[in-house]
Amino acid sequence: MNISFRNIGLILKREYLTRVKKWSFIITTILAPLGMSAILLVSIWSSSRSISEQKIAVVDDTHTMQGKLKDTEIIYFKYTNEPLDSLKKNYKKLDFTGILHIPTNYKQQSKSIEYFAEEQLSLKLKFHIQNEIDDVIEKENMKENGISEEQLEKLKSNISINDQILKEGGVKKGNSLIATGVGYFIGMLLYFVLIFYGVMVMRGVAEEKTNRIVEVIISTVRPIELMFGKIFGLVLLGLTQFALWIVLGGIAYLGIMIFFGADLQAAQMASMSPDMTSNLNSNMSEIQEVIEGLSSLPWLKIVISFFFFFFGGYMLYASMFAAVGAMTNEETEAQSMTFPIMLPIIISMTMLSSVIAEPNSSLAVWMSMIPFTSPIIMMARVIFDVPIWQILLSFTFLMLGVIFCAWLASKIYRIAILMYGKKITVKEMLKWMKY
Amino acid sequence: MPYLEIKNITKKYGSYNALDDMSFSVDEGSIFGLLGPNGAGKTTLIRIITNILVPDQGEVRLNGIKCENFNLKHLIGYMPEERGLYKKMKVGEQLVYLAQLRGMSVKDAEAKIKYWLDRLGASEWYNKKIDDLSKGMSQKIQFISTVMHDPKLLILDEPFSGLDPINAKLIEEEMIQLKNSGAVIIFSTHRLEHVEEFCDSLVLVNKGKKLLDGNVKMIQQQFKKNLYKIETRNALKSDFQNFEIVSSNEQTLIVKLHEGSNSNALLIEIMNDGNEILSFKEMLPSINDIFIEQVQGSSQF
Repeated sequence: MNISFRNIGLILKREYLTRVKKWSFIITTILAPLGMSAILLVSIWSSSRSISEQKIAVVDDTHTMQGKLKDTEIIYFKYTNEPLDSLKKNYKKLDFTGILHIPTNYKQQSKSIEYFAEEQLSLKLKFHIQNEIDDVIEKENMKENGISEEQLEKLKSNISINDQILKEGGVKKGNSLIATGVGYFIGMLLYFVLIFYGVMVMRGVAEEKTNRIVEVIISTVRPIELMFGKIFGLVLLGLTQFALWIVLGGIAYLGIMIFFGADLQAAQMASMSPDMTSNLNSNMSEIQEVIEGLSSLPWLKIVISFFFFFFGGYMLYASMFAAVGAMTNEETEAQSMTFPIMLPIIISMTMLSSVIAEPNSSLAVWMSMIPFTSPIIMMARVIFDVPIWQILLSFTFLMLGVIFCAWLASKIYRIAILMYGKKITVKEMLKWMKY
Repeated sequence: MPYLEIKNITKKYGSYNALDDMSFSVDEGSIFGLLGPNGAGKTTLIRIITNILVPDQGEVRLNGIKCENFNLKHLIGYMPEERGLYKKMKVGEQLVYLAQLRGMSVKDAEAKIKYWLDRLGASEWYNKKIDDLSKGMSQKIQFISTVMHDPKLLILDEPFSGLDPINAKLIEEEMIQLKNSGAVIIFSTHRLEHVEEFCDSLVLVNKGKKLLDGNVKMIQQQFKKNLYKIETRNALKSDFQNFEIVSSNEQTLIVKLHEGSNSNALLIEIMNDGNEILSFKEMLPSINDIFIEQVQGSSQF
């Protein structure tokens, strides 16, 4: 079969130009990174957000806790002798947010420490109170067993791991928290773009079919040329979008450097001389840490892999979406058929957190090799610096998957695109494979 | 010499015979009716001529050249029954794109498109989106997209369906014009009165098989039932040698000539009877009658 590249080129050009000139493309290109950053910032903010001021009335039946539960900046413990029942009724009037009740025999399993409030006890507060009481009891127990506080201090250990990544020519400071964040970000980004562009291909195909223009077009070009012209036109659109994002990201980075550059340098200097750390603006050192963490990531590998795995993943899913688009008679019918296609993408997404937590587990490695899940899973692993041979192997498998799916899709596409008003069954589709 | 030749085309979908050994040919500079009930195989045949489908057996030749793999797409203009254009594209862009797919250069395409838009009084639509055009307007654009590359073979599937009378008239005139300039027009339709009006020859297909083909006038002669319509001054008597009366309404009669007789003998017999003839006309069967008779006849088996 001799495929005309002139035809594919013409179709590609139309698909690309009609979309790249649209306002919606320009707007999504600008808004998508802002939206993603906003989602990321909100999730960071909400997870780090401290609880609001808490004033807790402590009803201590044991009379042993008095003055021992430590207050923090926002959590205050007030000891009161008021009976629990009356307190339950008027704790709000007395300006408390909740009541902590320590019964006399709380150490027994059946009787536990209770907390009363109108609102659900937040996890953070719960852990804080539990820790405090545990501390008190621990000290109590130690005293009973004859261990003094000085002895205890000596026994205690307080370490933190300072992770360094071995590199040729030196070590680099690692930051697993930043890597995790970037892993999620890239996984999410791929998830969105694979579905977004896949659906765009499907809609384009379905539009041509329901519009009936397809009959005129395929009297001049082969269906396979039309299908691949469209798929390549849209991948070019996607790559244009990423290139613009990289440029926008670069501009944003430069902007940060220009506005905060001096402060950051000071922070960097300070971190080098340990004496000055006390004077350091703690905010600046946090930003410094983020930037250091970001710059420790293998960016070149990440960016190159991203382009390749987006391309491969897109080709895989877009050809299947194109086949589904060709099978649709009405918009609603397509929806039910897209689910089986989207399933592997969704599975990749649900696995993302466990892969990021353990990027070299056998599950992660296997999923990063299987073509349907590899685009998202391999990209998440690349953040944690995967050996090149694994990336190449995964990409090879992906491309084999692409060839298979594109072949299958083109078989379905060229027959389905001409069928109207008839629901296509799986049995029929299998029959078309033979043609 | 025939311009389009359909030779022994067979196309099966699984065990279903969409076309079974179909053969016919169409002369240069003529309008050709492709007729048949729904599901007869008309669309399959058109799709084979336009290379959308590949036949299992047989071939299509244009001017003696085998038509395959879109090698002759620049010679073919196709307007499907279900029309469609890209709604969000501008008229000019869209036509240039479609012309390029037919193999034209951008420059030639633009010149031709300008010519046709002017000709159909639509030049101010060049930068309008199809979405912003009325249905009649977009039908004109559709027609331009079919003829802009000067095709030698035009395939029009139900060209008048959905057209308002003004546009229908316009397309009609353009069809005649194209025919006179030597194009072959294949005209697929259910509206059989159009066939008698425009077509020089036709093929009638049913269930993938050819029932009959040939010149329209000759087919009508072939299927005529020797009926004549006569109007006379006075009522006719009822007994004649050369013909019998099929039906009568006052002085207008429909008569059937007996086997071996002819119309002159019929006229002489009436005149000899002393009656005055006001009008006399041979009644040829309409294509519609032939169509129904043939299709029903073939469907009984």
